[in-house]
Amino acid sequence: MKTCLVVDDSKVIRRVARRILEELQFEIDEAVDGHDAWEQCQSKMPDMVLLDWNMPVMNGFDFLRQLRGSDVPKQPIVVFCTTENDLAHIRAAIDAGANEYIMKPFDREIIEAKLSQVGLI
Amino acid sequence: MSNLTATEFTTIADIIQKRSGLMLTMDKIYLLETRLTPFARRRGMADYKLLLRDVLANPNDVILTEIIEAMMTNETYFFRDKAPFSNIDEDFLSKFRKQNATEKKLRIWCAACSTGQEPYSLAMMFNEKVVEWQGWSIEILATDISELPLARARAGVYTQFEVQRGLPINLLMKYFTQVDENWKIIPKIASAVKFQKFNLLDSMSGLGCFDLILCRNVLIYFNQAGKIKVLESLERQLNRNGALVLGASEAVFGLLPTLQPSPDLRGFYIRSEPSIASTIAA
Ligand SMILES: C[S@@+](CC[C@H](N)C(=O)[O-])C[C@H]1O[C@@H](n2cnc3c(N)ncnc32)[C@H](O)[C@@H]1O
Repeated sequence: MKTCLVVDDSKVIRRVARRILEELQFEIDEAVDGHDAWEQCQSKMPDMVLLDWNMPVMNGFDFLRQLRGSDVPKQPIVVFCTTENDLAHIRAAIDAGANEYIMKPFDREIIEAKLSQVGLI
Repeated sequence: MSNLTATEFTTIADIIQKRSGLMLTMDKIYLLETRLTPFARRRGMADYKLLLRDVLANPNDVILTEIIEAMMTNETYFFRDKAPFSNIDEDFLSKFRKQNATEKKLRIWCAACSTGQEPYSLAMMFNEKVVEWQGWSIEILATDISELPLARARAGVYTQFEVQRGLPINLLMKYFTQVDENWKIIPKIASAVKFQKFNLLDSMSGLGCFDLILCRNVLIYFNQAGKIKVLESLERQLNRNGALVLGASEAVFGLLPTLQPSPDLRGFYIRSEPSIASTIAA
């Protein structure tokens, strides 16, 4: 089973994402912000991170840069999932090493399409 | 209002089928209601049955055309099913490019293009390989029976939802600009596709011959006789070694004597004989 860390400060979003991803046979962990995500990654690196942008403590973008700058043995696939829906944000995220980008609102179909895009399903 | 009688239903279903190929069996009667109710309301009628009875009593070409368009399923998305596109790109076209390196001409037809995602996916695919296609004349003709989706295709503007189904983010960044909430395809890609209204039941000879025809997810709505008629016509429009690509779920085994299913590319049918049209021309 593939593992996914869902990083979002909204409990509702985490729940929705979890349900969709579990249906797609992923094992899910949740983090509430970038800092929490970073700590969890250090003890258990997931295959994929579904990442919100705006979060307290550490935002998704800073988390991504920290992750990509680190020398972890295996870098996970990172898919942004955010309300930042403009080209400038998308470009910044991809330049910083995101593999895909989901603009909220999302549904199962979009998640599925994006995961297939990055070769996870 | 009383339900449609079986005769009323068959009369309408018959008209729709004769004009478009779309097959409506009695179990699809609910489709008339779901698709035609909004349309009837826009015309100031509370009930779709009123609309149908009215058009049966006073046949009106314009309204019939609109009814048929309303009955169509226009669902489509960028790089739908993925595999056909990589097969076209990496297998069929890479061979084609080598075999036709002197002539450098390629004609493609998307025969039921709906809102344009399919032909635009192809156009982006070519642009991703500009170096390889340097010096080629590539024509992408995209047709559909319905005016409304064609207008959307020509405008090339897609919702956030639509660009997130099948389109990789790097292609969105490269080939679209943001217009408010929506995404507009850039002129370079838009101008690579020619859109035209065309009914698959009409004579195709005026369109000329093609090296690649995509006719995906439309014949599933036709009955067997309709499928055969369209497939036979499409076959005539294929150049030698040209390929017809059908949808993933469309088995036409045995329907086409001279079109061979490709042994390794699912949904691909290759024409090995010279095309009838070009034989006549010669
Ligand atoms: C489900 S869409 C398929 C779009 C695209 N080929 C794909 O696979 O994603 C089917 C389209 O076929 C068109 N269509 C139905 N009957 C047709 C006919 N007789 N001639 C041309 N187009 C037709 C409909 O208008 C609709 O846009």
